[in-house]
Amino acid sequence: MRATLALVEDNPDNRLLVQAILEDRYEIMEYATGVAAVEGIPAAPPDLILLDISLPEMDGTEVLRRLREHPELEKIPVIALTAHAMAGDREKYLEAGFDDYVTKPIVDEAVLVGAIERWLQQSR
Amino acid sequence: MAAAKQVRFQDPEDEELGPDPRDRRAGRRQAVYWVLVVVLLLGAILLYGSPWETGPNLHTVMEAMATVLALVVGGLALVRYYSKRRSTYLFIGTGFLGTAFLEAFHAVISSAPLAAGLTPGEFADLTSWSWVASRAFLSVFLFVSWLAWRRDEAAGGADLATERSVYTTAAALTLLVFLVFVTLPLAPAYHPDRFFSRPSELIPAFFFALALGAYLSKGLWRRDVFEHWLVVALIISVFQHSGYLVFSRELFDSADDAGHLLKLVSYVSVLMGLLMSVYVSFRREASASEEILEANQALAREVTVRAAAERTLQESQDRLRDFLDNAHDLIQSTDPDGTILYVNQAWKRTLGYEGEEVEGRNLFTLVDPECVDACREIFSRVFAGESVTGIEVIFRTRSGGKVICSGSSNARFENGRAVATRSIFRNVTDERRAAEELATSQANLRALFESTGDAIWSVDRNHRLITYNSAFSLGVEARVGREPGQGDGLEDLASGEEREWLQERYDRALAGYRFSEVRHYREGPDQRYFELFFNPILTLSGVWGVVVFSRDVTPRRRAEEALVQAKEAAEDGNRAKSQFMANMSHELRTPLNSVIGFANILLKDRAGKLGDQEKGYLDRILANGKHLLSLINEILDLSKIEAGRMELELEPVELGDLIRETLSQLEGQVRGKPVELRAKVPPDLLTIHADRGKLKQVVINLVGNALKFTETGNVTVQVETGADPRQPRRISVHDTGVGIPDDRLEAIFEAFQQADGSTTRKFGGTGLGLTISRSLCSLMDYDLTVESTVGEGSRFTIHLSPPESDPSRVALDEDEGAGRGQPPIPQLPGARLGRLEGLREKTIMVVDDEADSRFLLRHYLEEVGCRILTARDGVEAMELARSERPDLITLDLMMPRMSGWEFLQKLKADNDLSEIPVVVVSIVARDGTGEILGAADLLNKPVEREELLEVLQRSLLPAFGRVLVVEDDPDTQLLLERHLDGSGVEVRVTANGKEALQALDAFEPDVILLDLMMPVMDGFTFLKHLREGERHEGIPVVVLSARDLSPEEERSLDEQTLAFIRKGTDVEERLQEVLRTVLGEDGAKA
Repeated sequence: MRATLALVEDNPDNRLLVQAILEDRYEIMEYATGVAAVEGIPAAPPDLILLDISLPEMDGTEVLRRLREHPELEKIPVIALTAHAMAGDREKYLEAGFDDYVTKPIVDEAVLVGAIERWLQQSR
Repeated sequence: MAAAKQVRFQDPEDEELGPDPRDRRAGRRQAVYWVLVVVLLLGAILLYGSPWETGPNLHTVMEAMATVLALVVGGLALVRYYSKRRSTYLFIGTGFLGTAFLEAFHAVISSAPLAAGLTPGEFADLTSWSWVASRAFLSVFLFVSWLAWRRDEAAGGADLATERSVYTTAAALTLLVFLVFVTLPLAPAYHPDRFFSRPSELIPAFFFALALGAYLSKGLWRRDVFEHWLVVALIISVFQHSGYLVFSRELFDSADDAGHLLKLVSYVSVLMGLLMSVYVSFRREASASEEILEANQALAREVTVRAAAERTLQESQDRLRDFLDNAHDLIQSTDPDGTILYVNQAWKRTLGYEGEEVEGRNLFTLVDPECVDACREIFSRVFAGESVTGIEVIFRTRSGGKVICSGSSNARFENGRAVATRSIFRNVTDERRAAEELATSQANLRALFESTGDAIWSVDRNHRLITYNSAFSLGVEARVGREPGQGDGLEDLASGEEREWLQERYDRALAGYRFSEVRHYREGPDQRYFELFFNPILTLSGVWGVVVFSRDVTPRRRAEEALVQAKEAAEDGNRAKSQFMANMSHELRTPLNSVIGFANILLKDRAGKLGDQEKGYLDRILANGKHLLSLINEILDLSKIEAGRMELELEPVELGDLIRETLSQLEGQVRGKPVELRAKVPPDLLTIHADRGKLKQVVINLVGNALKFTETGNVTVQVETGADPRQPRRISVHDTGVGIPDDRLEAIFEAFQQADGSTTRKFGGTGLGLTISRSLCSLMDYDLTVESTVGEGSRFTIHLSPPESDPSRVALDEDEGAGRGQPPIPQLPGARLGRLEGLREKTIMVVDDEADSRFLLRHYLEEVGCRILTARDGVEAMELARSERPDLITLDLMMPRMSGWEFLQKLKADNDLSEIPVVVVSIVARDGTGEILGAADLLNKPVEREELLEVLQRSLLPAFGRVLVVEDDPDTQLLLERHLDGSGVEVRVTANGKEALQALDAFEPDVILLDLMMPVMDGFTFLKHLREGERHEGIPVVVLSARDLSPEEERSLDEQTLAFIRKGTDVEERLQEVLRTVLGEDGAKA
C-alpha cells in the first residue's frame, strides 16, 4: 500500500511540480491554504506532511502548531518545503518543530524523495 | 591680727614704779633738804665756841672709816658706771677713789708718830692741808661730774668721757698732791686771829657749793634716788666746810670733829644713794625680765602668726604666679609709657620670646606697625580710667610673624594715679584666619552657586527655603509672580500639582535618598524639561534639609528623542532590508522551483517523445536555472557577511576530519577527469578553535575551485605545521591547473572577477566563491593568500594564525621589537626564540657541490645573522676550514673530488679542526645515520629552515635544559627525577607554586613541569602569577596532573600551557616528547 502524503502549498505550479515528482510513489492530498490543511488533515491523517511556510492567512509555522495540538497527529512527520533558504533558516524551522527541511527550488528530486523516505521509514 | 603687746621699757632715770607721783616725791625730798639745812645751821650755832677737844686717835679712827667708805663708794660708783655707762658715775667713782687715797694719806700723817719726819711742814698744817686737799679733790670731781653730764647732754646723750683720761687725770692729781706735801713747805693752816680761823676750808666749801647748785639745777634729784642722796651729801658737805671747819681753831676741837663726822655722814649718804640706786635697778630689772618674758612669749606668738601669714602670702603669690604662667591667655602689664613691666609665659611663648628679654621693652615696638595708632588710642583710654574690652591687636613675633590677639585692658591706680596697664589677650590668629578662609570659601561657593544658569536651592526639614541662587529666584518670579525669600514655604513657591510633586520628593530626600527626576513644564511646543537633583543635607544629627539642583534639559531631551527616532528609523530600515532580502530570496526561488523542477521532469522523457535536440535545450534550461540559483544563494550570503550579520560559532575543530569530509563530498566533481584529489594531513594534529561550518565552506570553495580549473594532475589539500609538528598553522590547496597571471592575483577575490572574462563560460561558477571565501576568512581572522604560476598551477593558503605570530618570523625580527604582543603561549618555547640570538656572528661553512643547495642554506643562515663561507668540495672545504676556522660546517656527502665522508675523516683526524661540529646535509643521510662517524647531526634534503636552525642551536649553543618541577608528592618527585635523569637536563624540584615562584629568578628554567593540586599555592594560581610577571611569562609550562578538568579549566590550561600530561599513562613517553619539543633532541635522549 502506498503511503499518503499531505501537500500544503498555495502555489499551483508548485503543487503540480510536486505531484509530477511524487505521484508515482505516493498518494497525495493537496491543500491550497493553511486553513484548509488545519481543517482537513485531522479528518484524514496522512503518513507525512509536506508543508510550505509562506502561506496566505495562516503560515506554515502556525499550521504546524495547530496540527501538533492534535495528539493523534503528533507522530506524523512534517517536512518544511520552502523557498526560505537563507542562512539560518534551516535551524529556525527545525527549532519551530518541523522534522525536516527541504528547500525550493527542488534541484535534485532525490533530496526530496530521500527526506520523505527517511521519515516514512522512521515513522513506520 | 593680735596687736603686739606694747612693752614699756622704763626710763633709765626713773628710780621707781608705782602710783607715787613724782611731784609728791620731789616735794618730800625738798623738805628733807630744808630740814637738813636747818639742822646743820642749828648744829653749827650750837657748836660754835664749845670747848670740845679730842685727841688724834678719834681722828685717825674716823679718817680710817672715811677712807674705807670712800673706797666703797668709789668702787660702787664705778660698778654703777660700768653697768649704766653714765659719765657722772665715772667721775664720782674716780673722785671718791682718789679721795680715799688722799684721806688715807691724811689719816696717816695726822697720826703724829707715823708722820714725824716725813714732811717738811708743821704737823698741824700738814694735817689740815692734807684734809683740805682730799676735800677739794672730791668737791672738784663732783663738780666736774656735773660738767661731764652737761657736755654729754649737749652732745645728745653721748658718753664722751674716756675712762683712761679720767683715771689718768685722777692719778696724776693724787700724785701731784703727794708731791706737794712731800716737797713744798706748807703755809700755816690755822689763823686763830681771823674770823675764819681755817680759811683753807673755804676752797672745798666753794666747790661743794658749786656742785650742789649744779646738781640741784640738773633736777634729776626729783626722780633719781642716787642724785637725791648726792644732793643730801653735798648739802652736808657745804655746811661741813662753811659752817664747821672754817671755824675750827685747832686740831681735834669740836668743830673739827663735827666736820669729820659730817664727812662720814655725807659719805654714808652717797653710799646710801648708790645702794638705793642698785636696789631700784634690781627691782626694775626683776619686773622688766618678767615683762620681757611675757613680751618674748608674745613675740614668739607673733612670730608664729607672722610666719603663717607669710607662708600664706607666699603660697598665694606662688598660686598667682602659677596661674599667670600657666594661663593660655596672654597677660601683660605696662607702665604709662608702654614699657613692659610684666608678661606671662603664654605671652612669651606665643610671641617667641624667652627669659627676661621682653621686660623693659616698649610695647609699641612689639605690635604690628599698622595697629600702633590704634594701640595708642586704647592706651590713652585705659589711662583715662576706662576698662576697654574687645581690643584687637596684631603683635609681631620675635621672628616677625603676625599674631592677632583679642582681649581687654584696664589700668591700675595708686593714689588716684594710673600707674600700669593690666591687659589680657587671647591668640585668635587661627580663628581669624579660619574666619577669613571661611568667608573666602563662602564667597567662592556663592560665586559658584551664582555662576550657573541652573537653579539651586535648599530647604529645611519643614520645606522652608534656606538658600537659593538668582536662577531659582528668576524661575520662581516667572512662575509665581513674586520673588522668593528665605523662609518661604512650598505654598509660596509652587502651586497645585507642582507643590505636591515637590513635597513628595522633598520628603523622599529627607528620608535620606539621593535621586534625580525629570519634570516637564508647559505643554505643546513650549514644553520644557527640567532635571531636578535632590540631595539630602546630611549632618551628624541626621538629614537636616535638601539641596535641589534644577537643570533645563530640554535640548538634551529633544536630542535624545531625535536620536531614539533616528535609531528606530535605522532599525526599521535594517529590518526592512533584511526582510527585503529574505523576501527577495523567497520570491526568486519560487519561480526557479518551477523552472528547474519541470525541466527535470521533462528530461525524464517518460513519454519518450523528446529528441536529442529537445533534451539538449532542456539541459540548458536546467543548467541555467541552477546557475541562477547559485548566484542568488551566494549574493545573499555575501551581502549578509558584508553587512556583518554573520556570526562565528567557535568550537574545537579536527582539521583532519574536516578535510576528509570535504574531499569525499567533492570527489564526485573529479569523476571523469585525470585529476587526483589528495590530502596531506600530519598525524596527531592538535584541534583548533574555529567555526567549523564556515571553515569547511572555505575549503570546499577552494577545492571546488581548484578542481574546476584543473584538467590533469592533482589537487592537494595540505595542513602545514610550524615548529611544533602537532600545531596546525596553515591549510593550503594546491593544484596543477591553468594558474593565474600575476596581474590578476588580487582581482580574483573580487566579485564576478575571474581570471579572465571567458572563464565563466569555459569553467562555470558564479564568480563569487573566492570573494565569499576571503570574506569568511577575514571574518574568522584568517588570511587567504594565493600564489600561482600560469600553466603550472596555483596554491591558495589559509593562514590559521596571523602572520606576525609566526614564530620563525618573530625570531628573526626580534631585534626590531616585533616579538611583543604575542599570544601568551608561544608555540615555540620562548627560551628558544631568545637562543637564536646566539647564532649571530657565528661563522658557518656550507660545503655542497650544488649551487641551489648552497644558496638555500646560505639564505636560511644569513637570515639569522651567521657569517657564511661556501665550499664546493672537500678539498676546498679543507683549505677554508684551516684558514677560517668556522664554528660549524654543513656537509653534503655526494661531492666530486673529495666526498663528504672523506672530508669528515680528514677533519676529525686534524687536531686543530677536529672540534668543529659537522652537520651532514644529504639525501642519503637518513639511510646511513649510524655510520656517519663524527657528524654532530644529520639533516635530510630538502632542508627545512626550522630543522636547520634547531640543529644549529643544538650544535653551536651550550647544551641547555633546565626543568623546574613543581610537585608536592615525594613519590612523583622521585619518579620525575628518574625520568629526567640522564637526559642532560638540570632539574630543580619545588614542592608548591610559591616555592616555584621563588625559584624562578635564580633557576631560570626552560620548561616547568607543573602539578595542579598542591598545598600553599596550587597550579592554577602559580600559572596566574607566572603569566603576570613579564620576565617569565614566556616559559613553557607542561601540566602533569591526575585531575579531571572541567571544560573551563581545560580551556584555561589550553591557553596557558604547552601540554597536559595525565599522570599514570605513558608519562615518560609524553615527557620525552615534550622535552624534545622544548629543548630539542639533546634534552630527550634518555
